[in-house]
Amino acid sequence: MSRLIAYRLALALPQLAAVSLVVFLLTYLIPGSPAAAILGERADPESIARLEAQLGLDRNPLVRLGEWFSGAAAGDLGTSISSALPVTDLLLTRLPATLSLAFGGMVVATAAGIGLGVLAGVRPGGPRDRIITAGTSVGLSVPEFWFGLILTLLFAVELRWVPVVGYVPLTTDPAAWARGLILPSIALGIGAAALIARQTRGAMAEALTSRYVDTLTAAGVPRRKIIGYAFKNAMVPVLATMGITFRILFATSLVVEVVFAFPGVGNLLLTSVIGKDFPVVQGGVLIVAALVIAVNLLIDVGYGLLNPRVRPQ
Amino acid sequence: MTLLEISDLSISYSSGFIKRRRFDAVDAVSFDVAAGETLGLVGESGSGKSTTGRAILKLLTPDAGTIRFDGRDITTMGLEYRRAVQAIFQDPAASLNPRQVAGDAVLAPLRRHGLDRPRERAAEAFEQVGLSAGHMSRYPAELSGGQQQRVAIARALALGPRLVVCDEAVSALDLSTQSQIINLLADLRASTGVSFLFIAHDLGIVRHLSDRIAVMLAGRLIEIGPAEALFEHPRHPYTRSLLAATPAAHPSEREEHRVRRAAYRPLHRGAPIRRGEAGCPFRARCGRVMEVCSTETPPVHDVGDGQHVACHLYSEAFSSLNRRRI
Amino acid sequence: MTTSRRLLSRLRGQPVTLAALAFLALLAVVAVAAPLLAPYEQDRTDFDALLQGPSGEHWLGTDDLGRDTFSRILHGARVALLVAVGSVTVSMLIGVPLGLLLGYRGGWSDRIGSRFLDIADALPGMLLGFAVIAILGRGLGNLMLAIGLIFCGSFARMTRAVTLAEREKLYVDAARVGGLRTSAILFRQVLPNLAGPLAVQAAIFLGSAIMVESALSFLGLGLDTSQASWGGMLGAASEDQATQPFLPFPPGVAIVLTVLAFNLVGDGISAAFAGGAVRPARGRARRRRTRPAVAPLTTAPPTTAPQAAAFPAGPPPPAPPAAAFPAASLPAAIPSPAIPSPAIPSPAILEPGGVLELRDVTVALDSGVPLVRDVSISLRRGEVLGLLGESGSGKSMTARAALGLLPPGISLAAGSIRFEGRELAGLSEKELRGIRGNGIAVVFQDPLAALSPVHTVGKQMCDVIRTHFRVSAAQARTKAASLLERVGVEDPERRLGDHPHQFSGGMAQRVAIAMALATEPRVLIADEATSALDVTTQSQVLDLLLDLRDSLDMTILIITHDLGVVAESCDRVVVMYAGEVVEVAGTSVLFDRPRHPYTAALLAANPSADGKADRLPTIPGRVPPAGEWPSGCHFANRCSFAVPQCSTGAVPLDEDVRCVRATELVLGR
Repeated sequence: MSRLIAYRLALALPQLAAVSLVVFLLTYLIPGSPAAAILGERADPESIARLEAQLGLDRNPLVRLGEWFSGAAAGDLGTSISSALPVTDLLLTRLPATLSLAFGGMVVATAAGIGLGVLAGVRPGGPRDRIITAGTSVGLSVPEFWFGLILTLLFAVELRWVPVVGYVPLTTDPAAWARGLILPSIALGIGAAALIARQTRGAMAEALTSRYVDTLTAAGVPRRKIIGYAFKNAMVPVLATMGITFRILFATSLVVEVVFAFPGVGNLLLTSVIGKDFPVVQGGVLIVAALVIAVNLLIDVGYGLLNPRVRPQ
Repeated sequence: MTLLEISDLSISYSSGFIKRRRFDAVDAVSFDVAAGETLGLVGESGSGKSTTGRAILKLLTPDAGTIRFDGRDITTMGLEYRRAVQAIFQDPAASLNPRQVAGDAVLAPLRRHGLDRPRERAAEAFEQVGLSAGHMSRYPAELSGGQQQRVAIARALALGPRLVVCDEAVSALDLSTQSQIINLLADLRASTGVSFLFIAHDLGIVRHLSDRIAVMLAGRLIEIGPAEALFEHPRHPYTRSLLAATPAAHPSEREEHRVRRAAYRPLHRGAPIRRGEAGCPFRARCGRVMEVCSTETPPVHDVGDGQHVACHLYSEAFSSLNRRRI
Repeated sequence: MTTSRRLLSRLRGQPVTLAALAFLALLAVVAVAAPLLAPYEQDRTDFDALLQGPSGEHWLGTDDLGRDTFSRILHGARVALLVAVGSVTVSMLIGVPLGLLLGYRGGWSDRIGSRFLDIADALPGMLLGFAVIAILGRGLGNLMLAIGLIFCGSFARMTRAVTLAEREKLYVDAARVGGLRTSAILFRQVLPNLAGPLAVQAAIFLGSAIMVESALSFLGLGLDTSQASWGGMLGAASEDQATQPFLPFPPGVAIVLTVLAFNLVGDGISAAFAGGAVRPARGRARRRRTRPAVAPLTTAPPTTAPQAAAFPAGPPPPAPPAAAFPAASLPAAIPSPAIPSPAIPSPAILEPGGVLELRDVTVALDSGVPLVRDVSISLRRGEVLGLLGESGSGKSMTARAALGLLPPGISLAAGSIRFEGRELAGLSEKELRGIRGNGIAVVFQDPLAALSPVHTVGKQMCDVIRTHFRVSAAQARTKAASLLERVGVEDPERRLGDHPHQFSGGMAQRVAIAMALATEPRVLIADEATSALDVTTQSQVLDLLLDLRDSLDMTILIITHDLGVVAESCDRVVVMYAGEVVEVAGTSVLFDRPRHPYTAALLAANPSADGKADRLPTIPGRVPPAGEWPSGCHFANRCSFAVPQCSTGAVPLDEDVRCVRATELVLGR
């Protein structure tokens, strides 16, 4: 178990380092001078030179790379151009909202996805399966941010069941935090739920036609128990693709944040992209990538626990 | 005349999830195939017989050892080797591209080798294996298992090869189809003089088709000799246990078989054969195991009549002692 | 190309896919002809008609600048389709060749390339889009590039995976042996096999691209707002939806329908490539419906013989002894699962001769095509009976029918299956569940598939044991360990904690046998149980089975295609050909004096039988597949003894042989 975690960690760290390298290189991909790009075409050369110095663009790229890595390792991601605040501080204040939303979305996606998938996959081709399969097709086609708009319109504006705008920090009021998360989590989770439901359905249906199910059936083991067997087997492929599903969910959460006006990393990134605040964009990309890697790490460990064949002996 | 000469062929795979472990699939194997000869290569799954075949087909690169064809190292040969050495694989459905009609499967190599009249040659090859020209426009899915294997044989023979490696070429076929294909291979051998390396686990088929038989175990060649001699007087304890395990051909032999099998019942059931270390790969299962079997790899002994065996029982030191009992 | 034609015809059979394709075609027309079709120009403002709802003038209302929503939706289709097609083209142009290269080359380039793809995996797509637009700015080209980059990793990954899988296939080896160039193998051999997965992926990503485009436009990172786009319209709508709640609906519905259409087309292509993949699901549904349809018949009052009631077709089986009636119809009287435990067989209800008795069993596809016809097999207590046949003979289907384990889409069409006097045919799935495992057990061919890979062997055995015996967990474990020991697994207590993959093939088959023994069966069905094993292991497992027969007083049905297995282990043999029993005989008698020409030909064609003959006697042609059986004798057209009489009508099984010339022919050696 601990070896599995250690192994996965050993894989994740170089991945994180590589991502931060890519993020570092982003500024070098900007056509022309980044400073000119930030300040606009009509900026005077002096302020461009000043900004270049501030961004360190006048220095040796390798030296800067070293600084970037040592800074990132120490938690220093540079300074925001527009607010002159440390990027790390900016991100840290935004992180709880982003984490809350992603957590809520993953809970909805996993619970609804696996639940519906099992219901459909236990009897493939049956009426329940057809309804759920049709539902997942639609679920996959609904843009989460639009779904968020509609949910708000219906439940917050028309029916007034939940507050319209609602991020409350967990530490302030856990109940309000949870209430505020309901709609955004459902909106965010729908696509991933549909994806997981499809995979679960397919895996479940396949597992139920496998030979070991025949063996157990022939031995008279009750259907309920056999479904349990099939379920654990079905979770192997489902978990294997869940990492990708949650990566998409993280990407989507950035947009859903905007819809629900969550003070999260997504909103920060959006304003930084529009305002060309590159240090914040870099830091934001890095922190989201780190979150994705962390979630994938957890899923991989779970996968290893579930599937004995990949467990290191 | 020696057509194919394999000396000290070693192939290892690496596997493992964290630590990449290497294991020897083939360990210092040497044998040769004469022109026009059919050599049977037998062994249980994982014995390295198919890996040896794949190395001969240049589908993988050996770690050590040489393979010579017509006296030339095959690594120095190019397209000419591809034409001279062909293959027929086990699963006929998988060995044909599902999205390519049967005729194209035969035509593509003919064109590649720049042979003249490729269409006529392909049609001739189809006829040779008992298919009609109409089969050339069929997709593999539209052919029966036996017909698919005939297409694969046509593909191999259209190039006029001198050696064909048959890797379990009839194992996947039903009995009634199997005998048709075995006869076809025998006919083609008679009419073209091609050599076969016939890799199979079924001793009955190998005995039927082969002039000589080589036995592999855990990546080593442990016995080789003329087919009849090997069946009548198997020398290596493993070969004996293998023959003893072969099911009876008639129910009346049942008791005799059971008695014989009991004599070769493995000592340590389920004990794995250790690879890559010195010693005999059969020592864990051998009823006549000696101390030396764990410390020294048995050398190959010529026991006469063209039979060679890698077993310590035949070493000089033990020969006088054991000769009679063997 | 017949494959593409076959695909098209399969697609034609999918009304949903066709509807989706029609919708997309219409959308494409709308996109091209938007300026002609739209009632208003997309940027014509009307400050007298701000934020209106749907009306005759403005079908879908107006936005905050009084622009006609309907016209803007039509123009938005242009952006959506253009960006989708452009970005998917970009991603395929980058991803597919990269994936092909990585997958086919393998080795180091693949390992390095895959690591890069892993890194790309950590960057959520939208972030990549953010970054590209932050760096390059907005605009149509940049938008396509940003979205294209998001998907090219997926294309590369999928192409690589499929190529890797294809590369391992024998046809690629065969092409290499044929001397074909790498490029020819990649593009002419491998790529056509990628067409299906790529088409599916492309269709789905076209939809995803529209989603991403609309998200970016919604955030104001797409095209500038003068150009109508669905996402941009939603962005504007979100600001005014409090005033005009209808605003977000038209563009949202447009997006959902378009993405849905692409997804459905993707699903349709995928189903068409998978071939019958759609059909089993339907077949299963049908089976669920037919099963209960049969079951109610058994719940009829026990005045009629249950078999006759359940199977109006086919000749009624001989009346069972009177004593059998109450037991056989008990589940009918009490439809609930309160079935009396069959674990204690009462000798009184046993039919003379047979423990397991199959009478005139016909197994058929739901389409009505029979796979097994009128098969009667009687398994005598304590014997080892061989059921011999080639593939297509129906031997496995017969066994599955006896187990009540027919696959979806296949059902027992007629006949009677009696186990220890109890009628199993016509029982509902629920009733069967109460009976399974109480007397009949099965061992399948591939032991690793027959055991759940993610559960320990001990867990699986204990679950079976505790289904049938009221024992504690600890007692079940002790029993499981003793069973493992019985079948020759060393160190059984420790090995209970192992997973199936930790056993070798032969050992795994021993475990599967121990699982079967856990129910203390009286009949063990071994369905090609030794076929996948090496000869040495095969003989050991056969010896084990025979040993168990003697020590546990079991009856064994061995289903095999291997004459050696029959010669080695069976007392009697039932030979099947093309869905019918052609001969039944004692093993020695069968080998010495086969009475059916097929049996004789099969024995003669066995290479192990004759040491070294130049040519093997063969049987011309092949086993006719189900649905193409000849009328009359199924073997007639391959038989060297056939006379015109053979094809005139169905040949009955007379004195254990199904041949019109049985009495006159002298076969065998």
